Amino acid sequence: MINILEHVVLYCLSKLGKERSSSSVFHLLNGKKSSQTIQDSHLFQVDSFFNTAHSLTREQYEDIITKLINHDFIYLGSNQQIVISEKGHLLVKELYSTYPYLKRLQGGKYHNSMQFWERLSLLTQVCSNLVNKQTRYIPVQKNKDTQNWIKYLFATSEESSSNLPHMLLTELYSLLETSELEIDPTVLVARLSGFQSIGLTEMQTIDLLGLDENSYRFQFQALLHCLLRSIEMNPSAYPLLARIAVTDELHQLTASTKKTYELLTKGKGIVEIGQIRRLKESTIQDHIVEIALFIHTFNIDRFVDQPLQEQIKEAIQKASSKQLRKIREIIEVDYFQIRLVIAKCGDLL
Amino acid sequence: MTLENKLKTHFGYDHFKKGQREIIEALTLGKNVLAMLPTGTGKSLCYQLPAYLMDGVVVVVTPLLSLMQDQVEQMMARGEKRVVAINSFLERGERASVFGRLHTYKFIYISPEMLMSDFVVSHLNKLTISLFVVDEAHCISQWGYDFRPDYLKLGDIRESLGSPQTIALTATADQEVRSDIAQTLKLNEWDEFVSSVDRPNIKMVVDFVQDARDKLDKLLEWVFFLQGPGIIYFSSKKLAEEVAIMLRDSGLPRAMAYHGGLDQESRILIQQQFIKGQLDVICATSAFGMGINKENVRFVIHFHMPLQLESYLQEIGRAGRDGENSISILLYSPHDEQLPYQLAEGELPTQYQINWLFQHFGDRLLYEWEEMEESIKHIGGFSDTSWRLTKDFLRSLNNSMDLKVEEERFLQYIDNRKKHKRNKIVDMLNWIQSKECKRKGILSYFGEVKQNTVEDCCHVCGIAYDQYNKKSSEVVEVTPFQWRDYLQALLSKSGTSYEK
Ligand SMILES: [Zn+2]
Repeated sequence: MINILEHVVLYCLSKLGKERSSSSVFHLLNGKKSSQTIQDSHLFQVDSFFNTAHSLTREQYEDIITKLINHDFIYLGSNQQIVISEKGHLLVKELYSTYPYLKRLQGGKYHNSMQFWERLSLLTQVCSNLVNKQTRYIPVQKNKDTQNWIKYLFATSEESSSNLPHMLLTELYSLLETSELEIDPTVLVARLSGFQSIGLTEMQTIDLLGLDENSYRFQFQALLHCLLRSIEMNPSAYPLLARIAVTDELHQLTASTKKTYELLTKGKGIVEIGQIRRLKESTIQDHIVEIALFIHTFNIDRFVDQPLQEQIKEAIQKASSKQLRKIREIIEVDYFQIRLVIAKCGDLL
Repeated sequence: MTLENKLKTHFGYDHFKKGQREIIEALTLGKNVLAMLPTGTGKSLCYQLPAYLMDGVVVVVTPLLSLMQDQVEQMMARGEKRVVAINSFLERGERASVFGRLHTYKFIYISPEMLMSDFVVSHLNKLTISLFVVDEAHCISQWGYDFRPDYLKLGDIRESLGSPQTIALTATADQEVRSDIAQTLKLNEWDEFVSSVDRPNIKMVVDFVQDARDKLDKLLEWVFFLQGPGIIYFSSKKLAEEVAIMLRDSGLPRAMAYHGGLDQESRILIQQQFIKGQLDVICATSAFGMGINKENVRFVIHFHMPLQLESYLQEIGRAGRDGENSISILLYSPHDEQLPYQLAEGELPTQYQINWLFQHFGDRLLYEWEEMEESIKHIGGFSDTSWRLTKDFLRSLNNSMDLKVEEERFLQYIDNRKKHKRNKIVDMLNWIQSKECKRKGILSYFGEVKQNTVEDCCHVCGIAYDQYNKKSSEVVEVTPFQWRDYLQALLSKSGTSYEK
C-alpha cells in the first residue's frame, strides 16, 4: 500500500500532466519559491499543496517516484515523461475521500503558515510567562524575525499587555473549535510551551497521537491553513490572532527580487532595471511575476493593460491545454504577459 | 557596594562559589588573569560581575557558537539586555545595525573568526574595552584538546586593540597548555588561578562488560537502577536515537535523544523539557550539555569512551552541580578504543586527500580555492572538521611560497596531530584499564595529587551503590491529553501545573 505522501505525489503528478517535469511536483511540495513552480501550481490547480511537505528531500522524492513506478501507478513514456496508469488514475480519485482533511489545505494562499506557527508558539510562551509574572525564560523560537515581531506586537498593542493572555486563550478556544470536527486541535496545542510546561516536539506529538509522520505533517499544515482561513473570514472575532496572521509580504520575496521591487517602486522600467542590475531582461520579468504573486497590492496594468488582461483570461479558459504555448496560439501576446495575468489572477481562473 | 551585593542584585545569588571571589578581586585590581575552573563552577560569573564595576565594554571571545548563543540568552533571561553575539549567523542587514549601535552594548560576545576582520577590529577600537575575555582558552594551544587555529592570532588582535586587561578562562589545561595561553596572548604579567579539577561529589565508575550486547544490557540495568535525572553520552547519533526508543519502549517514557541531527525547534524543546524536569533521561551526543545549567543531574553514563580524559571530565562535570552526590559510569568492552581511533582519524584530512588537493589544483590553491570551496570539499570527501583544518592551512598560503614545501609541511603537521590524538586515546585507555583509584589517576594526569579521602570515591576504592538507587519508583500517571485543559493551564492565572 502507499502512504499519504506517496498518494499526494501521485495526485499532483496527475494534475500537472505530461507537460511538466516530475521535479515540478517536488518543488511544489517542497515550497520552492520559484516563479515557475508557483505559476504551475496556480495553473494546474494544485496550489493547495504548495509548501505542505517542506522537509521532503530530493532523495526521498526520488524514492517515492521509484515506488510509484514499481507499483504500476505510473510509468515512463517515450520521452521519459511520467504517465499515470489506469490503476493510478483510480487511486487519484480516492485521495480526498481517504484523507478528508486534505481538503483544508491551502498552501498556495497560506504559504506563510510556518511563520504563523512560530509567532503563535512564541506569543503563547510569552503570555504564559506573563500571567505567572515570570521574566526569566528561554524563548522556544529562535528566529530573530519572530522574536522582533512579538516585541513589536506588544509595543503597538492597543490592549494593555496584561489582557493579552486572556484574549489569546478565548480566541484560541473559539478558533480551534471551528476546525475541531475535522482535525484534532491536539495536533497543534500539544506543541505549545508555557511557564511550567514545555511543549512537545513534532516527533513526540506524533507518538502521542499515534499517527505516522506524513499524516501528522499534512494534518498540522491543514489545521494551520484552516485557522488562517477562519481568521481571514472573520477577523473581528479574533482581533489578536488576526494580527499574528498578517504577513509581511515583502518578506516572501527572494533577495534578488526584493531589489528589483525597490527599483520598480522608484518608477524604473524593465530595461532600465536590467541595465542597473546587469541582469537579463527575462530575469527581471521573472522577478516581476514573483512580485505579482506575493504583493497583493502590486498593479500589473503598466505591463498589461486592462482590456488585454481580460482577453488573456478568456484565452486561458478557452485553451484546451494548460501550456503557455497553447494559450498563445489563441492570443498573440508575450509569454511574460500571460504569466503575469496568471500570477495576478490565478486564484480566480 | 560590596561584591556580595553586586552578586545578589545582578545574579540573585547569596554566596560565591569556590574560587570566584579571588579571581574577581584580582580583576578589580586591574590584573591580567589566567584561570582554570572546572566545568559547572560558574566561570562566566568571573567576568560578568566585574563588568558591572567597570565603565567600558567587555569583549568575550568564545569559539563555540551554540555556547555563545546560550550565554547571551541566559544573560537576557536574567535581565541584562545590553548584550550581543557577533558571529557568522548574524545576517548582513542585522550586522549593519549591530555595528551601528555597538557603543550601546555592555557585553560583546564574538567568535574568533569575526575578530579576524579588520572591519570588526576597527569598530571595536572606537570603544573603550575595559576587559578582554578569552573563553575556552585551551583552544589556543596545539596541545589543548580542542585546538582552533584562529585562536593563535588572538595575541596580535589583543595588541591591535591596545592590549586591554585580559582574563583567559578554561576548564581543563595542564601546565604546558597554560603557559602556551599566556605566551600566545602576550600577557607579560598575570595572576594564575588553578582550581583542582576534582569534583568529590561525582563518583567514578568504570564498568567492564563482555561485548556490545552485554553493554546494552548493562546500560539498561544502570538506567533502571539509578536515580535520575541523567545523561547518557554516545559517539553516534543513530545509537542515541535507538537507545532512547528502547528505553521508552521498556518502561521509561520520559527518555529522549538529543543530537545535532534534530531540527532547531526540537533541540530547544528537548533541552528545556530536561531542564524543567519533564524528562528523566537524555540520550545525547557531545552536542548536548554545553551551556546547560541544570543543577540536579544525578548520573552521567558514557556508552562509548571519550577521545580524551579532558572531554570525559567535561561531560561528567555536568552532574551534581548542586553539590549533591552523583555518579558517573563509563561502560567499557574490549576493543572499544577502535571507535575513538576511527573518529579521531576522521577529524583529520588523509595523506591521500592532501596529495589529491595539491596535484589537482596546484597553483590555483593560492587564488581560487575559496570559489571552489564547496566542490573541493565534496569531491575530496572532507569531513567538516577535516575541512576546517585544511581551510585554515589554505588561508595561510601566499604566492611567495613553494607549494611543494608547504604540502610537506602540512602533511607533517597532520601527522603530528594524528600522533597527538592517538596519544590522548592511549592515555584515556590506560586510565580505564588501570587498577588504581580512578580519582587519583585523573588528578595525576592533570598534575595534581589526591590529598583527601573521598567517600564513595570510585569503583576501585568502593562505592555503596544503594545511595544512588532510585528513591521511589514513582508511577507517572498518564492522563489523556485534553487540549482545552492544557491551554487553560498555560494561559490562565489559576493555572495549576498540568501533567502531560
Ligand atoms: Zn578512588
